[in-house]
Amino acid sequence: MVPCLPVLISTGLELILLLCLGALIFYVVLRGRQVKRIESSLIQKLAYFEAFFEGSDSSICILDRESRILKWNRHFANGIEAYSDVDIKKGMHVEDYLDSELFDQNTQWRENLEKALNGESHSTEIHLQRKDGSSIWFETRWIPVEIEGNNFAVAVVSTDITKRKEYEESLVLAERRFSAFIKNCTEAICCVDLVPPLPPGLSVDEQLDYIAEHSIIAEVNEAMVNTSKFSSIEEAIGQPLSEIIPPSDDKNIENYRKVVASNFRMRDFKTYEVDENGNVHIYLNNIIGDYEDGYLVRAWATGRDISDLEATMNKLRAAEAKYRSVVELANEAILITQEQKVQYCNPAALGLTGYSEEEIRNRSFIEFIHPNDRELVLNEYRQRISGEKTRNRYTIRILTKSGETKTVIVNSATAEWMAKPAILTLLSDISELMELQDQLTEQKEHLARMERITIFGHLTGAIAHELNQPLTGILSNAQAAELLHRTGKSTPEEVQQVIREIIEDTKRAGNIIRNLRDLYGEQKGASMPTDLNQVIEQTHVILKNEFINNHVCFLLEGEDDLPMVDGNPAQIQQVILNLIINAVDALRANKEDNRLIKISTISEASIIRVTVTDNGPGIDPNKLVNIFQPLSSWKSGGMGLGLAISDSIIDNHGGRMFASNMQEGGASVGFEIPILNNVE
Amino acid sequence: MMDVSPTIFIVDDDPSARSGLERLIKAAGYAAVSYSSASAFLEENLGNRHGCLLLDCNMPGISGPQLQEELFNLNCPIPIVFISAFGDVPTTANTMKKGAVDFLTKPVDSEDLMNAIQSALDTDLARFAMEREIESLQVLLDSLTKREYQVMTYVITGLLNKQIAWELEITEDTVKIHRHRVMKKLKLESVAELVRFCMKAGVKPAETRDTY
Repeated sequence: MVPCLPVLISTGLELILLLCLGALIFYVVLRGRQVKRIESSLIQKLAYFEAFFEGSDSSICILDRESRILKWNRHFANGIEAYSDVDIKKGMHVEDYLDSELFDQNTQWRENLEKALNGESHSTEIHLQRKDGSSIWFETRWIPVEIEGNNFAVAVVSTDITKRKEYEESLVLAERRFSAFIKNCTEAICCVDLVPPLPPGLSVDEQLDYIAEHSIIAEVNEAMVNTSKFSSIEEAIGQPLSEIIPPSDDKNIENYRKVVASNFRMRDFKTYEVDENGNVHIYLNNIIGDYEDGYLVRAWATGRDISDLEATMNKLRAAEAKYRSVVELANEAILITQEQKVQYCNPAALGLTGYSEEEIRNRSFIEFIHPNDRELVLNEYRQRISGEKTRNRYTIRILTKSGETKTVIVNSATAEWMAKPAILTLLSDISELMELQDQLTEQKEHLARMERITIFGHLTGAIAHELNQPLTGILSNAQAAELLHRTGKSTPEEVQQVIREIIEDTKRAGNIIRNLRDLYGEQKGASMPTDLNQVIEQTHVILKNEFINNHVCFLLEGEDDLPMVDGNPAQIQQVILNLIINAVDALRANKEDNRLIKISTISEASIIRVTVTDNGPGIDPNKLVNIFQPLSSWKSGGMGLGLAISDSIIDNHGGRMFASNMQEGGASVGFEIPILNNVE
Repeated sequence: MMDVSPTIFIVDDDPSARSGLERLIKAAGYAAVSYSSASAFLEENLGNRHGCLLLDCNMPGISGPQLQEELFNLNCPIPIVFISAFGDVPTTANTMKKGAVDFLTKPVDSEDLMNAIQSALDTDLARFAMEREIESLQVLLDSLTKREYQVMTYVITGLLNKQIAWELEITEDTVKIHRHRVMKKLKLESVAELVRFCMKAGVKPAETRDTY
């Protein structure tokens, strides 16, 4: 068609037609090229798209109107895997992979889908929970995509924003905490904005003037408000700083100056303020300025009322000083030990041991203890360390530097030393006390002997009487024999009888002397198994005449087969003598035909009880209370020591004395001593 | 006079002393009987036996001094030698005041004992002699009439016949007659003798009206 065209062209019309034809041809050719270009560009774009689609960091899926999955990328697949066990397939509903109820509730999937299908591109934030329980936030864009004519699909592009969300949340939390902190802080906190910011290069005075004019309270807490004239935080915010800290006060001006001079950076400086009640408050303050490009934008100030703390600290210091001086001046030796090592000792401890502080420090305390007592102390120590109950006080011997042995009472307690558990030990030197104790024991012994001699004196008549009877027999018999012999009247029978009687009487006298020797002589606590019934009978022998003289009827009710006691027979006899003599004295108030003394022995579980009862007038109830105290004699005459000495004798035997008045009249006084086997 | 030999009564609760003393006293040739208590001695109801009492002080039941008291009350003045194993001064003094012959302390030497016993027996003898004399005087006194006895009690007060007559509201002559008979019956010569007689016999002088 084209070659015939120029023939036809002869005129302008032909030219026009030719041109049109040329243009047409050109167009067609051009158009063909263009299509090709478009096509290749499209292919390239598609490739780009595919690459973008697969390579995107976002999870992308394209859904049709029925929410069926048309296309998805790797991320989406991975994402789905995290929620579901079902393999992803084209044409399946998204809901099929997910717990529809939870999913829908969280995402309002349908609504968002509909919105996009209506041509509205929008984005939402979706919060999902993975199978493993972790949560994830997505920013999801719902983009309408036109497909096949008027049909729309939706591209759902989700980007993981979990991290961002977390940051946001923690920021909110931090802000909340921060404001809560400021609000609740017991320290007064105040933030002052400088509007406009304080320019650099001003002199101190200029800065002060500037601050006075341009500082506005931006943030303040309850604690700060409480120290100011404002009644609430709201009231204070926006007010000039001078309302809280007026620069009219000399002290405040001085503080302002200090702050300015420090370039708004001061730590722990104290200010003193007087409150409306006239009490002085001490504040510990901090100030930090915020600079931007050399301009002071704002300044934070905190203040803490440390008046109470200061007062407490002062008291504590005073108390510490006091305790220190107590410890330093104490008469008792005070040691603090850790892990058996001496950490601290007071001067008294040095005085006691004779060592210097250097010699004691860090040495094991065991070294200072008498070798025989070390095991004891170590046991106590171990028990104390392991928290077992231990004795509060016990007595040990220690060795001084000079090798002297001293007896001390140990008093230990757990304590703290340099923030570590330690043992606080108090030692009281009782060496002198022990010496005194010995002396006292000796004097008691002496007194007991004196009392025995007194009793002996008291009994001289009775004893002489007792002894003179056999002597009378001996002398009379001997003189009779001599007389018979001289006159030649003696018969062998008579002589034999005389000799027999003399022998018996001599033995009898000897026994009496033996009975008395214990009482009269000096004896020191020799203990032996002792039969109390026998002791009482021996006592009775000595006292027989005392009873006769005083018309006293004596009754002994001794238990048969009485167990032995561990005791000193002479001392026990002294006690019994004492009790009986007291009873005899008491009975003088009775008529001669009504004087009865009964002494009984009874064994109980672990003791033997000896009771002397009389039917006399009894003991004055007022004196019954301290009857065993020295010099509390309840009878006229006498040293008043008898019962006190008796009490100490029985006490030494591990027993006790008792005294009471009987209902039917008369007194009942006696003692209990442990039976031999039960003596611990 | 002593037709019955004296006995030494030993009262002592102590068997040794009792036995020894009894043997010694017997060896010295006396008759001796011993008792272990005062009540045992009292039970024997010895009446007026010759001899003396060797008495222990301290005894259960009745003591030595109590027995002394008891015997005095029983009007049995047997001489007592106390013998004590331990004599205190008050007891000694008391017993001696009440007529004890001696107070010995055990053990006692035979010589002291024998001296004391002898002395007690002498006292006993004198006591019996006195008793006998009083008995004979009593016989004489018993021969007096009631009125004669009455007059005699006035005479020994030293009253004159006239005064006695006034006291008894009788005549002076009657007094003289009674007085004469008294002197005759009692075989006495003088008023002085009469006074001595009465003292010995234990006659108490009359109580006169004190209007003089």
